[in-house]
Amino acid sequence: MKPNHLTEDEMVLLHYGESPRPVEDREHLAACPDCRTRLERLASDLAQLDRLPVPARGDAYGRELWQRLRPRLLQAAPERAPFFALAVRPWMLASALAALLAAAFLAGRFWPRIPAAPAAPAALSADARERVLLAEVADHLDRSQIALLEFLHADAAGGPDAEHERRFAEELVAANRIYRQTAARAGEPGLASVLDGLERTLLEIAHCPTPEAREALRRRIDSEGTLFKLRVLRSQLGRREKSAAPPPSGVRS
Amino acid sequence: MSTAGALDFPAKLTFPPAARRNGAMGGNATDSAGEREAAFRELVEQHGRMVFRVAYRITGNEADAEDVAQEAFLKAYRSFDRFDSRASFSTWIFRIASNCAIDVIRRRKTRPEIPSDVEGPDFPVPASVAPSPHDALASAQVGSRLREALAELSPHERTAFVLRHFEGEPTEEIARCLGVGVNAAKQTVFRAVRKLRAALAPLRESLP
Repeated sequence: MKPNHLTEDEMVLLHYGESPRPVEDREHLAACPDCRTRLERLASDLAQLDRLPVPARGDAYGRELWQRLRPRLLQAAPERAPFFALAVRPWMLASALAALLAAAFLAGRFWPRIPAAPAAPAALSADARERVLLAEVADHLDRSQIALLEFLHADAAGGPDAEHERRFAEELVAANRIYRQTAARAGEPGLASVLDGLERTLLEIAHCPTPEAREALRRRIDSEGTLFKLRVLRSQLGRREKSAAPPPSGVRS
Repeated sequence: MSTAGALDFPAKLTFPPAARRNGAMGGNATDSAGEREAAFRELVEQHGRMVFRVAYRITGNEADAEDVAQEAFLKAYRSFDRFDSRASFSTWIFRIASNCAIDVIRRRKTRPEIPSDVEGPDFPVPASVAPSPHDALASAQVGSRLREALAELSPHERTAFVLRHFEGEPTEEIARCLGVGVNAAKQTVFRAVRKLRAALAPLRESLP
């Protein structure tokens, strides 16, 4: 018989039929009322989850799904991955494109204009560029806040989510670098400074090797108020977005 | 799912070799395309509800679950050449759907929407077994807290827990779905259970 009480993790394995020592566990349970009670409580807790409903889908759901899917399938040839897809992940392309787009808007918005030359007709007005720019940077800050929150709330040991955290942080670092450089060139030192701090933090999340380092980084994020700074900056951008918004149609300025 | 095994993908549903190699572009393009479509239709009809259910459990949102279901089958169709027909289609589509659902949660940027209520079973409850107002309130509180707690799990934790608890998947399959080692998958389930139980603890006295 197993001499010690069962841990919660061992009980979870037993509950789901995956205990590596089921016979010993059962023998222990037979002799240990305390563990029996704890196992019953675990089963009762988990049973509560079975009461959560799932929206009903009838027998015809598969046919309905097929009807919605079919037009899209007709356009979808079986995949032949291009050679570069092996090396470039979709998120890399997406973030690179988003960052390049935003950098283009940033450049158009902030770089000094040459007043002498008559301006060629622009595809977007300066106001429209500013709105898109603000939205892009605000979106980047939102994503960065999520990355920091996920990192702060993850287990110290990391686990499988740590890999996602790292990838997410790497993705954000690439975009952040372009925003920071453009903000510095455009004479926005406050924005550039916050983005600089954010970039260092994201880099550390992306390359945080040990649980100790992760814990130390968490403490530093807390003590430096990184999240707070991001929120303040995000709020300021939100106000700028509102003031840059076009007047409602029909309203003359 | 895991209970179905390889037998849930009968030979007649296997895409014809020409279609699998050439899609709809082989010498017998029309026949291959037709056979492919018919075979895939059968798979969608057979597995659609399961995919929706898993997607809903993971995303916690009905509209997202619909999107995930469509996206998963679309991806499966596009990459069918990579499917090993000796394996179970249900397991394969299940992995694709789980990963689509994780992507949706990550793209959503915020915590998943917590449905305040979902239609329950469509049958009358006899008065004799209907819960008392007190029990009904307690049950609603527990349900609400659990939905919140599920929404607060990380995408990996939620997926691992859904696969383990609701779908009865073994840890090895959860590890394959998440692309992690078996021990990591096990620890993820443990962590999810701990968090869910911690959320329930204050309400334990009122559990039905």
